[in-house]
Parts: sequence; structure tokens; C-alpha cells
Amino acid sequence: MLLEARDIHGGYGGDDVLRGVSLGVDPDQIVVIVGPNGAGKSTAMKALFGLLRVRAGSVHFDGADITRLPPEEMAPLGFAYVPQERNVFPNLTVEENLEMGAIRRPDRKRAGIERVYGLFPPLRERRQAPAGVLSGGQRQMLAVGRALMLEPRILMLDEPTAGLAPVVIDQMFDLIQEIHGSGVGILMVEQNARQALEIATHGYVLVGGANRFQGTGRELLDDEDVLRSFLGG
Amino acid sequence: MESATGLLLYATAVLTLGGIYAILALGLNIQWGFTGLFNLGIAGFFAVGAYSSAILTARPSPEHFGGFGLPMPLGLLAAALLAGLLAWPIGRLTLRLKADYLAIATIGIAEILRLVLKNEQGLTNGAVGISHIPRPFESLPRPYDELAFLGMVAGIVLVLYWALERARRAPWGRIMRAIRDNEASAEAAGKNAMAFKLEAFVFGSMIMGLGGGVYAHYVKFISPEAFEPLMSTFIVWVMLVAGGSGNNRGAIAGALAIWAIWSMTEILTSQLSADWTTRAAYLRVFLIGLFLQIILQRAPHGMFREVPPPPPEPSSPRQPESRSADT
Amino acid sequence: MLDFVNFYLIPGIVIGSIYTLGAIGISLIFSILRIAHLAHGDLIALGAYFALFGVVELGWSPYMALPLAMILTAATSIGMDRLCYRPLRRMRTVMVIIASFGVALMLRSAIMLIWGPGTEVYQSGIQRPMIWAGLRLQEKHLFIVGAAVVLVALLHLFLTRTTTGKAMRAVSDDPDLARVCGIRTEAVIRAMWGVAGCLCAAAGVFLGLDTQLNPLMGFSLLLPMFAAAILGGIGKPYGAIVGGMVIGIAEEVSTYPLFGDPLVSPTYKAAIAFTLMVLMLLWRPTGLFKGRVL
Repeated sequence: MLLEARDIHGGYGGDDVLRGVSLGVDPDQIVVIVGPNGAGKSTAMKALFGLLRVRAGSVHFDGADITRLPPEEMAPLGFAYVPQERNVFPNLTVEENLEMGAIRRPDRKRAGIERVYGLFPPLRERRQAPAGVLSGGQRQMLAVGRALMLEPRILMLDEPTAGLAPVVIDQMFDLIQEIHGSGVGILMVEQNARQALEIATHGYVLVGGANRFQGTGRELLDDEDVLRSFLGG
Repeated sequence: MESATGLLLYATAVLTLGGIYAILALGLNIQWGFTGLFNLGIAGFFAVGAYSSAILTARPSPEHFGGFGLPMPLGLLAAALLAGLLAWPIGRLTLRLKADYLAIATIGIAEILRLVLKNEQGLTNGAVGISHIPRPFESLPRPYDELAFLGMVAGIVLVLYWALERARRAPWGRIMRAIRDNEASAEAAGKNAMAFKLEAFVFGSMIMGLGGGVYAHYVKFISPEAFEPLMSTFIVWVMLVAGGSGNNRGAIAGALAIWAIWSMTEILTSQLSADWTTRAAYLRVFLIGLFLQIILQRAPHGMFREVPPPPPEPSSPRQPESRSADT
Repeated sequence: MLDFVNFYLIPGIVIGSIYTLGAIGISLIFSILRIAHLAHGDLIALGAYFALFGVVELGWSPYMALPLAMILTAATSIGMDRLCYRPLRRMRTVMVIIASFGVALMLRSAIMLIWGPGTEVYQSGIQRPMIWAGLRLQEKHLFIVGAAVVLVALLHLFLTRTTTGKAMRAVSDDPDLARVCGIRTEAVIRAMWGVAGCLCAAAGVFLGLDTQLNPLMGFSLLLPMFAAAILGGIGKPYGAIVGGMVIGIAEEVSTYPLFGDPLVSPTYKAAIAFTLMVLMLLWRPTGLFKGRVL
């Protein structure tokens, strides 16, 4: 597994939110994490990216132990993350936001920007606008585009469709598959569990900060227990 | 016999001023230690207290306003009240904003006040200052006059300590700590954070004013120079941080310890030749600044950690216990 | 009218330029570290004294000594952060503010130790002003205002055209997201202190040129600079320009004898800045350009 988490325990100081989470992602996979609210899905992502303290367990990337690595060192590895909220710099222009994405790979900046504008044409039109004035959908595009500037091998997305209109949600899922098609492994937390699992190669169900179910997307969708416990929509 | 009395007088002097600083530190502890209010203008409240008491109790003099010759207790009362009166508008203006604003506003008020003290000749006799401030127990023979005054200061410190300890354990103290540690959730629980913070700020300032009043009667002569930021604001912060903020015992211990060290270094440097003595004065300031950095980095909790009192009985409303955290 | 311009407005613009440079630094530091840097005034004083070293020991003119002062002040700022602020990075920001109070005293006493407590000047003797259409312009005043404009323009270019400058704005917007992008925040903070140090050195040299040097010169700037930063909106470096000029001009103009006696007694000039700050906090705490408040 290119990215692997083994039995993670951790939280925000005080009690552990995560009590034994294990998962893995390879570049040829779309891995989806689902679960009820408060299950620790977003927390798990932050732990993987070094944004909060892992009290026990380990995280590995390409065989190397990255558990104690600070978040700013993930970019050079080829590991990108799009947080759910506050995922763009509101006072920087669209183009400057993208430039920040490539800050550790300045040589690939120009090519990267062109690629992102190719994927998201509306961003090209608004390239000089401050990111703070973009619509919700455009902001999400920019957030994902910024992460792609790194030419990541693994892309982590925290609820990429949150707050988007249904039509845009479909577009987002299509986009995710298109990105995956170019060789990027996807790790995704999603509230739209059903739709997410349909495009997933693998899925993990987290409940109460620990693994509960796992399997291929199809397996989880067909599983009675999984459906019953929370797969509402 | 001579040197023994000399030593006794010296020790008494150190303890007396240390005690006055302890009063200031206790006041700051209410503001910072209990409630997290960032007062960098202690000098201002200290000065208001000193001048208020001086003006009310000194002999009539053509050089300055007042001189009503009132008894000292009234002077001290006025000192506390006027300091509180000064604190109220400042608090109302800045407490709803980030801590930094209170810091800058209090620095500003202290400086403006010093300007006023220096320039309003008619009120305060300007840079020359007010002299012949009456001191209690003056009529007693040495060393008993000094000892009696020390006793009075010690008494004030003990009464304050007792009162503040009770306040700390009472619901009032709990609410302050809750507001300090997480204002948002305290507000959500229905507490009017602004009102409580204002109370803490005003009470703390009144105690600082009281300290100023006691100081005026001790030294018998005050001028604006005595209230510059190093010796009236900064040093009190060092005392509280070193002693342990949030802890009343820490405030007193920090005040006495830092003052003792400061006084002793003064003796050492006064032994040097005149040229070196002035340089050494600056060196001492440098060192106390350095000392603060070291404490903040190595021992931010100070000598006495804050000890949250035991949780209340089930019958009273539960408040979340909070750790004294510097994270 | 001419008197007003020559003896009140122009000095106001000069001191306003100095306040602006200081307030920009304060806003910059606040935007990235979220602290009110109480040692800023004394850092400015240090810059002035570094230039004095160049003038006295190396025989340079204060204009030539300015780059030297900038380099030394930038280095001191970075060192000061490394030793005193960085170790406290994980704590509540108020602890860093307290530390900066101590650093201010250390800088001030170091100046007194090395240069003594008295006043100094860069160049003694009276300089004759140039008269131009009735305006009395001293060479040093032209230099101060001109150089301030150049520095602000350079800063703008730095923040909008260089990668480090953009990274600084990114960290100021959202430090966590910046780290997620791979931005090394400590490197950005170092660069910020370098920039702030240069601005402080300039402010210090300009103040020394305009008036004189003394170890307390920095502390006396603290209140007007913070008032200027608050006026403009704390955390908004461009707002600081407006704030600085308003405070500077207001201070000087306030002593204009409009009705015979000065409107405000010169001794209370320092209270002008404080009053303006209080008024702004009462009316609009976010400042003219909506900086951060809570």
C-alpha cells in the first residue's frame, strides 16, 4: 500500500477520537471512508496528514514511516490533502492560490496551472479574482485544483461534495474519477455514502473512531448491516 | 548592635516594599490569573491610588491641589475607589475585543496619566511631586515605626489573601476561570462574560490603587518618576509569572522573591564605582527582561501552579473544571 | 496658510511617514503571528542606533548607514524571534506578547549599556531649508518621505510579485492551509522578521534624522504606531498607511494656533494618538479597512 495507516489512536488532546483505525490506499484505487457523524472520519484524515497528534499506531507512505512528519513535508512526497472547510486562501487570487499549491515544485508551476485550467475552465476566467468572492462550487474546484498542482500520487478529499448543489455533486464525482484516471490514488471521506461507494474500489466504514466494516465498494453497498446502520442517502 | 539594627531595618524595608508589590500582584492575579485579562498599565492604577491618597491626606500646600489632611484610611479608600473608577471605562471599551486591545489601551492610559501627573502643576505639583505625606506610626521610636508599618502591610496582604481565596473557591471564581479558559462555552452556558470580566478588571484595579495608596504613605513623597512602566508594571508581571499566575500564594511569593533579588542586586551594584553603578543599573534591567524569557520558556507555570478548587457539591450547578493551560 | 503648511502640515507628513513604516510592520507581524509586538518601538530605536554606529565609527552619512542599519536590525529581529518567540510558538499568544514586553526592555537597556542614556544626533549643525514656491523643504524631510514611499512600493511588489511574499499572505490568511500546501511556515516567519526589521531600521533612522536619538525614542513611538495600525485595521498593512498619516498629521496640526492658542497643548500631543485610537475602537473596532478584531 502506498499510503497506509496502522491502528491509529489519537485526538485533539484529552480523549482519543480515534481508537484503532487502519486503512490503506494505492494509486490504482478510489478508497472511500464512510460512517455516521462523529465517527472520526475527518479526524482520521488529519491524523494521516500530520495535522494532529497520533498517540499510538503509525502512518506509512511509500514504505517510510511518516507518523511524526509535519504537514508541510507531505507535499514533496506526493501526498495532497483538500480539507473540508477553509480550503482556499480568500485574500489571494485564484491563480495565486494555485501557485501556492506548487510552491515546493516551482518548476512544474506553469504546466500545473494550465492543467488545472484545463480541468476547470471557469477558474481560468476568474484567475485574477480573490478566492473569497468565488461561489461554493468554484471554490471547491479551486481547492481541488490547488492540491493537483503537486502532481500527487495520493489525493485526500474531505467531503468534496459538502454544500454543493446536486448537479454539481454529480460533476464532482465525475471529476474525481477523471483525476483518478490519470493515475492518482483517491482517499475520500463522504457523507453522500451511496454515491461515493458506487465509484469506489474500496471502502471503510468507521464507527466510534474505529474500523467497523470494509470491503469493495460493491460489497459494502450490498451489505445489509452496512445499509441498516447508517447508509441513508 | 548598630549593624543588627541596620540589618533589621533593611530587612523590614525589603519586606514592606515586597508586601506592597504583593498587593499589586494580587490585584493582577484577579485580572490575569483568574480571568485572563491582559493589563499592561498597572502603573496607571498604582499612580492614581498613590496620588489620590496623597492629595487627600497631605497637609494643605500651595503647590498642589488638595491637602485636606484627612486620615489615612479615608485616603486608602479613595485610592481604591478612584482606581476602580479609572478602570471602568477602559474595561467597557476594550474587554469585548481581543486581549491585545486591552494591553495597548492600558499601556496608553498609564502613559497619558503620567503625562497629566507631570504637567498639571496645579493638581499634582508636576514633576516635583507631592511631599510630606503622613505615615502612620511615625511617632514611634525606631525600629518600631518601621515594624508597625510592616505589620500593617502584612495585615492588608493577609486580609486580601483570605478574601481572594474565598472568591476563588466561590462560584464567582469558577465562572471567571470558565470565562478565561473558554469564553464561548461560558457564554453559551448563560454567563454574561462581559459583566464578569469588567468586575474582575475593576476589582483588580481597585486593589492596585490600594497598593498605590499604601506606597504613598510609606515613602512619604511621590513624583511621576516613581510610576514609570519598568518598576510599576513590568516587574509586577515578572513577579506574577514567576510566582505562578492563577495562584494567590504564588502572587505573594513571587512578589517577595523577585523584590528580594532585585534589592540584593542593588546592594551589589552600589558597591561598584560610580561609573559602573549606572551601567550596572541598565544591566539589571536587561537581566530582569532575560529572566522573564527564561521563566516563560522553562517554567511558565511559576513556583506555585494553579490548583483548581475541588468540584462543588451536587446541589450547586456544575461548572466544567479547567486546567491551567498555556497551550 | 503657508505657515500652516510649512510648520504643521509638512512636519505632520514627515512624522506620519515614520509612523506608517512602524505601523506597517506591526500589522504585518500581527497578520502572521497574531500578536501585538510590544518590542516594535525599541526595535526601531535599535535601528537608529545601528545607523549611529555607521555614522560615528565608520564616518558614513546617515543615508549611507541606512542599509547597514537594515541588515543589522533584520538580523537582530530574526535572532530575537529564534531565541525568545519561537520557543513559545505553541503557547497562547498572550505569552508571546508578555515576552515581547521583556524583549523591549532588553533592547532598551542594551542601547543604554552600549551608547549611554543621553541624546545623540547624526549630524550637528543647522541645515538650511530649500525654499520653493514659499514652501520650506528640508533635504532630510524630502528624503524621509521619498524613501518611505519607495519602501512601501517595494513592500507591495514583494508581497504581490515574489513567491515568498505571496507565501506570507497565504500564511496570514490561513496558516494551517499554508502548511497543507507545503509552505514552511517557519521560513516564512523568518522572512517576515527580516522585512519587519528593515522597516524598523528605516523608521528609526528617519526619526533620528528628523529629531534626535535617545534610548527612549522607541517607547515613545509605541502608542502612536499601534494607534495607527488600529486605525487602519490591525493586520492590514495597507490600512496602516492611512492610519500612520492620519495620526502624524493630526498630532502636528493639533498644536496649530487656530484661535490664538494652540488647539491642544504640545505637551499632550501624545494623547492625540491615544484619543484617536479610543474613538476608533468606540466607533469601528475593525478599523477603517476592516482588520481583525476577535
